[in-house]
Parts: sequence; structure tokens; C-alpha cells
Amino acid sequence: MRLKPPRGRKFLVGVVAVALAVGAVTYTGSATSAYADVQVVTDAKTGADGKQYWVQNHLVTQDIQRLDGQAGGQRKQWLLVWAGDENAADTAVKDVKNLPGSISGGLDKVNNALPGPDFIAVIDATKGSSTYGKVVNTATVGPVVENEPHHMQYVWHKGDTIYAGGLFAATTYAFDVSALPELKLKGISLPTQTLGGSVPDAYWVLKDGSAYGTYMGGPVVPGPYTYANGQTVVGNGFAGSPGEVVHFGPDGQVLSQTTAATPQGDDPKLCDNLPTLSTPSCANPHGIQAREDLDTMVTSDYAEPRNIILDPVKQPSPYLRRPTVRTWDISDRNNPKLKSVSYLPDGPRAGDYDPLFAESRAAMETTVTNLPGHKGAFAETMQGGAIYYTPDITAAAPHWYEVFDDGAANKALSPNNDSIGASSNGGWIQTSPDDKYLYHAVIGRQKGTLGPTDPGTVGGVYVLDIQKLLAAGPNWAGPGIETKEQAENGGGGVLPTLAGAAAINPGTAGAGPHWGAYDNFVLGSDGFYHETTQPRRLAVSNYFVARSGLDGDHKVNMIDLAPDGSISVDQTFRDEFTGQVGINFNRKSWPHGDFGNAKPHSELFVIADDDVK
Amino acid sequence: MDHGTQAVMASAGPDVVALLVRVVLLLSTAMVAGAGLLLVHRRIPVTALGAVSAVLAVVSAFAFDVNAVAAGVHVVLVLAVPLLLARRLPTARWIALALLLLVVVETSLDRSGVDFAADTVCVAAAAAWFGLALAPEKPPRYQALTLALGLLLVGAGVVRLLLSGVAFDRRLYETLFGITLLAVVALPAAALAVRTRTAGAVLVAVGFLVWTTYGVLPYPPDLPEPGVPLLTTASLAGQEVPVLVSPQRPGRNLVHLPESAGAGITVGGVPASPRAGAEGYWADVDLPAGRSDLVLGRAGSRATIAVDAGSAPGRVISPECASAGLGGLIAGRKDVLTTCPEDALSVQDGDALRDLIGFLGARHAGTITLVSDSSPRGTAAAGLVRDAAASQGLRVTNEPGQAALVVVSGWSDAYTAMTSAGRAQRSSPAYPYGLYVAPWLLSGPIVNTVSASMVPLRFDPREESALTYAVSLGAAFGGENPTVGGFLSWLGPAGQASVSPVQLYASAQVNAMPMDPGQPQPPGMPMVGEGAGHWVPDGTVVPVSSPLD
Repeated sequence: MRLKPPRGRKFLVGVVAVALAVGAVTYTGSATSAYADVQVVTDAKTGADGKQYWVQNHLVTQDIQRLDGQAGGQRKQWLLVWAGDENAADTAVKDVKNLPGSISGGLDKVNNALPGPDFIAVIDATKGSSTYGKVVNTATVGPVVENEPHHMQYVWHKGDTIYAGGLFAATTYAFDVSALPELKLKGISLPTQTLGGSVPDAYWVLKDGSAYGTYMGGPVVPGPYTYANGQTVVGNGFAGSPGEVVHFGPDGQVLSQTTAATPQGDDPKLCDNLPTLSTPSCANPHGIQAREDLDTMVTSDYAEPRNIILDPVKQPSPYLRRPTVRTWDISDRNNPKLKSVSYLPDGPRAGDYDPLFAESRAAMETTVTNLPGHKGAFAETMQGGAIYYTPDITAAAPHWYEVFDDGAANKALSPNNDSIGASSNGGWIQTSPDDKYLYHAVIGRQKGTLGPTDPGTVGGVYVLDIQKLLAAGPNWAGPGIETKEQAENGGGGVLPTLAGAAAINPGTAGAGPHWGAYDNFVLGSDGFYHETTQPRRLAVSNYFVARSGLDGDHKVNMIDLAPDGSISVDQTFRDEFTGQVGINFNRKSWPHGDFGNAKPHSELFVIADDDVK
Repeated sequence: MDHGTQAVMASAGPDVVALLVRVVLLLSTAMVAGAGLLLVHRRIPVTALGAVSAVLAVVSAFAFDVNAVAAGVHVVLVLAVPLLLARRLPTARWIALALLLLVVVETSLDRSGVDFAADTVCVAAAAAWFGLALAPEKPPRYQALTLALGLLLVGAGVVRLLLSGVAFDRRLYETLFGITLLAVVALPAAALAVRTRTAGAVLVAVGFLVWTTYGVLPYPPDLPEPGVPLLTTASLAGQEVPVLVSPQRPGRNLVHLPESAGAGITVGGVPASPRAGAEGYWADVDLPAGRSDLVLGRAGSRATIAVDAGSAPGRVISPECASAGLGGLIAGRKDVLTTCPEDALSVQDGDALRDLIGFLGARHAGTITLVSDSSPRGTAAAGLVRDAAASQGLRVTNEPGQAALVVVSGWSDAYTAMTSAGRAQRSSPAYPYGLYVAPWLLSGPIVNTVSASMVPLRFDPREESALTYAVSLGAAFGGENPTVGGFLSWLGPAGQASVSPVQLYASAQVNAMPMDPGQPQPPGMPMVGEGAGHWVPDGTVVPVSSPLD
């Protein structure tokens, strides 16, 4: 052993000792973020309450510069995902600092941070890009946290404001996306500005840039509420019934509010309210789409969006979930008039299970046809697991037919699935712009839903060919699905046929997506993006509402779509951290910080103004 | 909004196996590093220590989910040192230095500043001492070197002791935490006094082991102060249970345990049970004057907490009062509990109720069902509501089922009234103008008995200060949910001075309709539940009016 090193080593040891000492007194113990070099740009607006509200961009400079410098200078396409902070990062994300001997840092770590901000994630959706699938910006909203980000509009066109709703905060944000990947805040609508309704759900943007939004819940204060059109309804309060349609200006300003209730109310046998209303109502509008050329809007009623646990082991009354679809005359855009309330008919398996799973239950979504010769619309039921069609939404009393049962697509999603559509947990439904196909996302049936031995069903996305049905014209009068055999195998005749299916989380029951959007842009030979009527891909997100018990895996997947309607999961759309297919919103780090898991509810394909014609 | 981590008072106890693995791993690694630094060529013991350290690092990677890359680096370094020493390569010293740095990082992770410096000094000095001890023969200048190293170790220990916060009270010798602090000073000091190398090394090794347990041992609870509600934890069958004793005076005291503690706990032999309108479990116990022990028990497990009731008389404490006191404790104040929220109607709450009645008057609600109690606050509030209603042309009655319900009682009566109203609303259109509660009644156990309720507030439960309180409370008291009285106490007089106008808020459990409560989540998709910060569990509270005044 030598205790007297050479002079040179003495010097080196001294240098190391000094470095160690400097490190010791300057070490902060903090972890570095996965994102370095993030540019923060904030845009704030004053709300109706006089307070400041903002969107704060966290632009990942390195990735954006790499995108800008890519060979060929291809213009960018973005996927915008409206996501909520889960505020449980410390329990769900692996602690990468847990070293072999780290007693103080690795054992029994308890972390309780304030809720993180909700945000719109801007993801590179330019196929072939080296940063394909990377989150290049998280545009956080503030100061309100725990908005429970929910829906935006169904499709974005150049120049449109993006309307994004917060389910819990009863707030609608209006974003300017003309200069993506950066967002600006155009305005915000607070619950005190929409006293005639609560709990915003979805939006439909009109050609003039304004938008209709469905507010599922009732007037914010119980008792009578009189709308600007003179109609008075008696509601049972915030997040109760009856809901309304709000007309927003492009900056999020409230232009009008119209109740979805009829003066006489709805069928008391089919429409429960809690608290009980003297005039029962099923008016809890969720899905919304419109045909401006027909001056007609369609809304579908999902459920009274609040509940209390009366019995911890029982479902709430099945009649709190709605079987109704409403059509509206929107010839006066700022004064929509409720035209009809249709009750979706039950189908051949309605008596097989709990009434909650009858075909008509929980008319979550609706989608209109698009071409001038078509006047029909579709609706789908979440618990009912069925797809309905009416050939003419301009009719005084549209008749809706069950035209497809989710059970008939089950085997295509997984050969191990049964063909029972009950409780398929269907969500997003959308016609293709050329009216050839119908896209539908289904979460799948949870294990044990129909009985203790029920294995559940795998969910995913499926595509129906609807060309024959639409070709039957606006006077088509059925019949729709009438037998269980048709429900399980398709109805035949002009009824829709399965064109494609792709499972999400194959092998796992009840783990499919809730929402989706189609890509309505293609890159033209001029280097700019143009709108197309034949989308070639979809994006789907796997989250519903955690409080409801359907949480999903918080992933966003891209789906390739062939001209014949067949689909497959895009294997190149991968998470930048895990490398796995699908962008995982359960992650530790975001450009805005280490806020952990997030809940992606809805998404849109969007292009900066300069890149689209 | 600052999204930083909140202080945590109670956490689960350490995993003993993991603790043992890691302290042995650290000790063996430090010894290998010391041998490498001083180029000690004793193949068998150094190789054996390296092997132990490497095996434990691998075990940790699989058993304790440690960072795999870090574990790999650890294994490579700790095996490289004996291999290089065996080949008498001087580069062993540099590898040992890197290993030493790794031990420093592993020992001091999540600590910074002076704490980190003390860790660094301790690890480096202990490793060097181990190197000297492992040398085949007593090195030259051994006495001088060990004296210097020993003084460094003692100095590091003294720094830790002084920074601990228990250096000058009886917790230093009454708690394990305090005793370990004494040990990290005394053991190296004793090592200086012994004559043999082995004895000195053993004392330093034990001191090093004790040093590495810092951060794992629970920090001792604050010393009880008579008249100040006691917030502490009790370890029951491996579960750390937060305990609140109010007012900590001789005679009748109210002991509170959070909901997460679970049922079946006795306090001083009294079963802790739920109380209407309050969260968690409660027990009335009698305390003697002065210091005593309070025994908690559950299913054969017992835990003792030290209380000090002093000699001054106390007062009767309600759950609402205890919750208010808890808010102050969490804010770090040690106020003697002499007043309770129900002692008087505050000017702010009175104004809020007046504004509320004005709102109902503007809506022509007609007749109001009023629920109050006999407390000074309830009596004053009822009188105020009646007067305000009269001026608004509203009729007030105690009969249920009128146009609107206004509740100004304490928690217990409010719970009963709201539960009854919710039941009535399920079968008929009762209270069509809604259910309204006084500001102090916005808490989960009360408002979640109905589908929706309204409350006049001067603060937004979603704003930063309210969220910070909510998260701090949840962290400190087993996930307990906020109360308005607790929030006001947490704010303190200075925080309450900034008064915002009254707005009406709606509270409801917005959940887009729950699915089957019994259905399992898909594998790999666990429901982690909601994070802290919601004022009402599974609920949302949003403003639904402009300022009312």
C-alpha cells in the first residue's frame, strides 16, 4: 500500500476533491426534466369575471427546429389532444431515481403535489417525419385546474377556432391554432355566462366560425330559468336536467342559449331525473352535428351527468341514461328551434339483460351525412351498443331504425369475442366526408358486466360500409335489425356491412378507445395540405371519464384507413419514451414539467394556416 | 400556481428487508471504495465485500425495482475495484473514487446543501477509515490519519444533530430517531478513543450503518403542548394512523382518526366511530391533567401516544371545531384551542347568508324551509335569515318540503336535514328552488348526501390557496378532505383579511354517470383514483353567480 502518491496524482486528486466540494455545496437534489430547452409563450385573456385566464405554450425547441430543418421542407400536420392532468404521477410513474443504495430516495416515497394544469398536447402527425409521434408542445390552461378536459369539435377546417370543453369546470375554451405548434387563447366562457345549462360536452363549428355546444346538465340553479327566446323551464340544478345548446362566437363569447327541453317534457316512464322534476326530461344533449344546407341540427341525449351513490354495489337507475335524439331547425343560426324528440326503439335483445343494456340506452353520439343528396343521420348508444339511422333529419318526426348492432363487429375485433352488443360502451361515431363509411369506436364490454362469468369483449375501431343504406334515399322506411340473428351477424339488404376493424389492446376486454377523429387533410403536389373527402387515417384515444369507472390506458393511436374501408393500427406512431405503438399519456415528463399521467379525451387533426389551402 | 410537493407528516413505515439490504450494500460498497482508494491489496476480504455488494445490487434490481442502469453501474464498479487491486493496477484508485461518488449519491439522494455536504464528508471519511482498517499492516501515520478522519466523522454527526430539530428537547433521548443522532456523534468519538484498529473500525462501521438509516426512521412527532390540539401518528399493525386529540386539556377530549384508518380502532378503550356530517372516526376520551399516554388499539395491536393536557380546564369540542384546529396545525401554528366556529356567527358568514336570501328573494322562491341549531352561531344565523327573508318577502318555516331548503345548523343537523331532503327529492319534486347550505357546511359528508347543493362562498375552492390547503390536509391526515373551518384556520388571521365578494357556488358529483361499481378494471389499467385537491370527494364546486353583493 502507498500513502504518498506522485505529485501529478496529488494534483488530480486535489482537482477531484475540489470538484466534489463544489458539487456538494451546489447540489440541489432536484431531478432534471426529460425536456430540455423548452420555450414558454403565454397568451392571456380577461374572463367575464375580470380574472386572467391563459394558455401557456411549452414548445420543445429542439424538436421543432428538427422539424423545420427536415429535408424537403415538408409542411407539418399536427394532432391536437385535449388532456387532463391525472394528479397521481407519484403513484403511477416509476421512480427512475431509485438507486441500489438510495435509502432516502427510494423507500416509501410519498409525494403530494398540487393538481397539475390541463393541456392541449401538440403532437407531430406528419407521417414519415423523424419526430412523428413526438409531443412538441403542451399548451397548458390556467388558472383553473381539474377542468376534466372533454370534447372539442368533431373536425377542424382551416380558420376554425378550436372549442374545448371542461366537463367539471363547466368551461369552454376558444383557441386560435393558426400558428401551430403554438396556440393562443381567443376567449373563455365561464359557468356564470351559461346559466341556462352546465357541463359542456361537444361542439359543432358552423361555416361562419361560430359554434354550437351541447351543455348536458341543467340550468346552474334549481328552479325556473327563462331563456332569451322566452321559454321557461324548471331544472333540477347544476349538472342535472334539462340541458341546453349554446351558440358561441369565434372568441368563445356566448351568443345565445336554448334549452333542449320541450314545454311538455318527456316520457316519465323512460326519463328519470334526480331530483325528481315536475316535468320529466330526457334532455341531456351530448352528441351534436348539423347540416347547414338543410338548416337542421341533431343532438343526442346521453345521461344526467351527475349522480350520487345511493347503493355502492348497484348501478344507478337505467332510466337516467337517455334513449332520445332531438332535431333542431337552425335556419336562424342564433335561435335554434327544437323540432322533434325521437325515442330510439329497443331491438331484439332488449329483454335479455338489465334494461340498462337495452339497445336504446345512452344515445351518446350522433353524426350527420354530408352529401347534398343525403338527408340522413346516425346515432349510437353507449350502454345499448347499437347504431341507429334516420333517413331524413328534416322530417317533422324522424323515425330512427336500428341498422347495426355492435355485437356484429365483435368477432372482427377479436375471434374470442362473443357477438353480443349489449354494453359495448360505444363512443365516437362519424360518417366519412364522402358518405361511404361510418367509423365507430367501442371500448368493449367490461368483464363481468352481463353476469359473473361474462368474459367481456375486446374493443377497438370498426368501419361500416353505408353506401347501400344511403342510396336507399330519404324515404327509406326500414326494416332495420329485427332479429337476434341480424343483431349478431348484420342485417343484410341495404343495412350497413362491416368493412374493417382494428382491435385496441387485443386480448383485453373493455380496453378499447372512447373517442376518435379522422384526418381530413392530404398533402398536395403543391406542398400544401388540402381537405379531402376520403380520409386515410383516424386517431383514437383511450380514455372516457375516470370518475365514471371507465379510465382506459390513456393512449392515443393512429389508425391507417384503406380506400375499401379496411383499417390497421399504424405501427410507426410510437411513444417517444417507451418506443411502443401509441402515444402514452401515462408518462412522467411533459414539456411543461414532470406532472405525470394525463387523461387524453379527444383529438383533432389540425394544420397551421400557412400550410393549408 | 406552485405545483410543488407538499410536506408529508405521515408515511408508511420502511420495508425492513429493503432497509437491511441497502445498509449492508452501502457498508460493503464503502469498504470496497476505501480499499481501492488506499490501494489495499488484500484479495480475499476486498473481493468478498465486492461480491456481497454486487449481489445485493442485483437483488435490489429485481426485488426493489431500483433503476436497472444504476444497478448495473454499481455492479461493474464494485467488482472492478477488487479485480484491479488483485492485479495491482493503480487505476483501482480512480474506479474506487467513482464508486465512492456513487455511494455518496446513493446515500444522500434527495438531500441538498449542508445535509448533502455532511453526507459526503461522512461517506468519504468512513471509506478512508475502512481502507486503513483493511490494510494488511498498520499504515504509517495511522494515528494522525484516523484522528483527522474521526474528527470529520464527529463533525458531520454534530452537523446532522444540530440540523435535526430535536437536538435540544427530550426527543433526543426518548426516540429512536434521536438516539441514532447521538450515535453518529458518539460512535466515531469512541473510535478515536479505542486502541485497536479492529475495534475502531467496528465502531466506525456501526456509526456508518446508523448514518445510512437517516431518512428512513420516522421523524418524531412534535412534543405535545397543553391546550394545543395534538397531531401525531400511531403505528397500528404496521399502519401509520394519523391521530388528532382536541383540545388536549384535562377532562373530555375528542380524538379524530381519518377515514383511511379504517374501522375497529379503540382510543383509550373507547371505540372510534363515525359522526353524522363529519369525515373519519371519532372518540370521546377523558384525559388526566399533565402528561399521560393514550392507548390506541385494533385487533390485538396497540400503540401509545404521549399527550400533555396541562392543568387548565378545556372545553367541549365538536368535529367541526377539531377540523378547524387541524387546519391551523397544518399551517404550522400552535394556537391554544379556545374558540370554535359555532361560538359565533362571523360578520363574513352573516353577510353571505344575507346575500343568499337576497338571491332567493330575487328568484321569488316563496317559502323557505330553515334548519338551524341551538348553537350561538345557529341561533344568530337563523335570526338573520328570518329578518333577511322578511325584507325579501319570503316566508320562513321549519316545515320540510317548501320551495327551498336553507341550512344554517352545525354539521350533524345539516347532515340529517340534507339526507332527508335528498330522500324527499328522489320521490317527488321537493325543494324545486334547491338546497342551500351555509358556508361552513361545504364538506363532502354533507353536500354529497344530495345530488346538488348551493353554497355562498367568499373563496373559490379551485384556487391555489384552497388547493394548497386541501392537498396539505390530505397529505398530513390520511387523505382527509377539506372543510371551510379548517381552511379559514389554515389561512390564519392574515389570510382571512383579504375578503372576496360572495358568489354562489354549485356542488355536485359530476361523473358522466357511473358504470357498474363492481366491474374490474382491465389488466394494466388500474384506476388510480382522483388526486388530492378536490374540495368535495368525486365532486365539483363551481361558481354559478356573479358577486352577490
